[in-house]
Amino acid sequence: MKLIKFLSLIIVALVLVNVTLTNRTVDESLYLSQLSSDINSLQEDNLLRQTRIAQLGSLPVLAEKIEAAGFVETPTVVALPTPASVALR
Amino acid sequence: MRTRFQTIFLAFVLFLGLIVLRLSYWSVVKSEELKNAAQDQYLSQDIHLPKRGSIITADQYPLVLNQPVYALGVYTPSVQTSPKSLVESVMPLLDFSIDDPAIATDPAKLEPALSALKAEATTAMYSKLEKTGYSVLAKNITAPVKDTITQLGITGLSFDPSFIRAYPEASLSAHVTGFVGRDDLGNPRGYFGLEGYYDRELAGRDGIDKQEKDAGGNPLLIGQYQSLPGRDGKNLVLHLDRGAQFLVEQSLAEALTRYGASSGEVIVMDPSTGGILAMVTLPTYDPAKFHLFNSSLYKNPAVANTYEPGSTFKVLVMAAAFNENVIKASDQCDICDKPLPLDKYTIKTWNNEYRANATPVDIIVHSDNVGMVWTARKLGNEKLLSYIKAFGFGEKTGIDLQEEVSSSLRSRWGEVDYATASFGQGIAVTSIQMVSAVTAIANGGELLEPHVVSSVDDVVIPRKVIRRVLSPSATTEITNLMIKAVEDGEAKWAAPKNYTVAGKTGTAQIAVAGHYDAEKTIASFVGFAPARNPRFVMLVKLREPQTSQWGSETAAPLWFRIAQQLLLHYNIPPDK
Repeated sequence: MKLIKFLSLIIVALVLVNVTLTNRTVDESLYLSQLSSDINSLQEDNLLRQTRIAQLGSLPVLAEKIEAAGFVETPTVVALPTPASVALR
Repeated sequence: MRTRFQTIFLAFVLFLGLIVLRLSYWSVVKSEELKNAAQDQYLSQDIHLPKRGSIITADQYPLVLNQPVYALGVYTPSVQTSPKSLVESVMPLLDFSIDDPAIATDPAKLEPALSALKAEATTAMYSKLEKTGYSVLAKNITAPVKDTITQLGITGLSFDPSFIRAYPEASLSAHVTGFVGRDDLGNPRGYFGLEGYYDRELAGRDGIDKQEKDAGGNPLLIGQYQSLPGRDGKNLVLHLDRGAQFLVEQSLAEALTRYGASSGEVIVMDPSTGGILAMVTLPTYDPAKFHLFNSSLYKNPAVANTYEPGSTFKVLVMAAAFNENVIKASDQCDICDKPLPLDKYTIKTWNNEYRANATPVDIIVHSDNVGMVWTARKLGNEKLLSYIKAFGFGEKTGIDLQEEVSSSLRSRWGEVDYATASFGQGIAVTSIQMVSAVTAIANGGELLEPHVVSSVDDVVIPRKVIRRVLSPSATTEITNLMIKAVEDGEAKWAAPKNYTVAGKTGTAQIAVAGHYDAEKTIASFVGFAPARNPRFVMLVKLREPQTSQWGSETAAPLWFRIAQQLLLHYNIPPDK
C-alpha cells in the first residue's frame, strides 16, 4: 500500500515537472522566435540605412548640392613648383 | 468441436502473423521513408536568401549594394476584411511608374498610361483574392510602403523579403559593374562586367533551417533541428577610385559635347600593380533599368571592341627596336626624305612633310610613318611580329571583366602588313590591350595582367607579371622620346606646364566596308605621368570627333585636362 502511494506521488511530481518544463520551453521558444524576428528586422534596417547613406553621399548628389551652394570651379590650377621650394620659403 | 477451435486458432495465428509481417514491413523496410515523410510534416523549413556581395571602391564607397524589398503575399483564408476594402486600402499605397522614357517624359501620355497600369493591377488583385490559398499581390515593395501597409492591420497579409541591387553612384561605372538580371529559372544572375565575371563569388548560397515548430509557428527547443548554413556573397574591393572615376566621367562627358564625338573611352591604370584606377566609356546606361536601354550598350567597349590604334602603336615598335639594340637615339633614317613606294602602295606621312635623316626622336615627335617603316625594317619582320605578340596583342589581357575579347592576329603577313603595322594600321587591338602594353613601358618593362578588383573579401588578388617585354634601359630610351613627343609634338600647347608627361597621339581612320572612311577617325592619346615615376597610365579615345579629326587637337587636350586633375587628386607634386 505504501509502495502504491509512493509511486503515485512520484507520478504526480513527474507530471508537475513535465508541465512546468514544457511551459518554460514554450516561453523560451516564443522568446527565441521574437529574437529571430528582431534580428531580421534590424539587419534589414541596417541595409536600408546603408543604402540611404550611400545615396545621400554619392558624388552626383554632392556635386549638385555643391553647385547649388555656389561653388564655382577655378578655370586655372595653380601648382607650386616643388614641395622643397614651399619648405624653403 | 475441437477441430473448429483449432481452425479458429490457426486462423487467428495466421492473422496475427500477417499483422506482425505487415508491421515489420512498415517498421523495417519502409522505416526511413516514413520517418522522412513524418519529418516533412512536423519540421518547418526556412530558406534564408543570401545577400549578394557589394562592390566597393578603393576609397571604401559602395558602387553597388543590396536594397531590401518585399513581396506582398496574402493567405485568403485568414483575411477578415472584404476584398474590396483590402484593395481600396492597399492599392493607393503601391508605387506605379512608367519605365518607357517616351511616355514617362510626356505628361499627356503619362497620366493615361498610369491609370491603365493601376486598373490592370487592381483587376489582377481582385482575381487573386477570389482564390483560396496563398498568392503574391505585389512585388518590389519598399520598406516605407511595407510599414504603412503593416499599420493598416489587415490580417492574412505577409511580406517576403528579397533584395535588389542599388547603385548609389547611378550610372557612374555601369560598364565596369555590369548588372544583375535573371537566368532561365528566374534566379538572379550577373551579366557583363564584374557582376558577370565574379557572379559565383557575389551570389552566395542559400541557407536552410529545418526545425520542429508548434501550431503557432514558434520553434520547439526540444524538437529536432537541422541546419544547412548559407553563405552571403563576397564583397569585391576595387582598385578603382570613386573620385578619379567621377572626375574622369565628368571630363569625358564634357569633351564629347565639346568635340562632337559619338563616343569616348578613358582607361586609367596603375603601372606598378596593373590595377584599373578609372574606366569610363560613354554613352552609358543605367544598370538599375538596363532593360530600357539598347543591349548594344551593355558591353564595355574598352574590352569588348577592337580598333586600329594608329600612331599610338609607334611607341611600342620603337621600344622593341631599342630593346633589340637595332637602333640608337643618334641613328638617322635614310629613307625618310620622301614617300616610300611599297608594292602597289605608297607610304606617306600624315601631313605629307618629309624630313631627311630623321632621328628616332624626330620620328616619334613628328609621328613619321616612313620613319616607322625604317624602324620596323631595322627590327626585322620576325622580331616585329614576336614583339607584337609579347606586348599581349592577339590574346586576352586577362582583365576581370566578363566581356573581354581579343581579335586574333592575321595568319599571313605580307611586306605591306609589316609596314602598316609599324605605324598602327591594319592591326586590331582593344583599348585595354593598348593600355597594358604602354604600362610595360611605364613600369620598366613588365607586362602586367590588368585587374579591376584588388580583393575578394579579405583575399588579395596578387599582382601578376605576364612576362618581361622590355629592358629598363629600353624603357628609359622610349620614355625620353615620349616626353619629347609631348613637349615638342603637335599637342604641346595643351600639355601641363608643371609636370613631365610621356605620351603619344594617334589618329586612326575607321574601316568601313573594306576601305578607310576619309572623314571618320578615332582620335586617341596614350601616355603616363609623371613621366619619370608614373602614378598612372592613361588612354583617351574619342570616336568620330567633329571639331577636328586629329588626336592632337581632341584626345590629347582631353588627356592633359584629365591628367592635371588626377595629379591633383592623387596629391602628386609638380616635377618641373
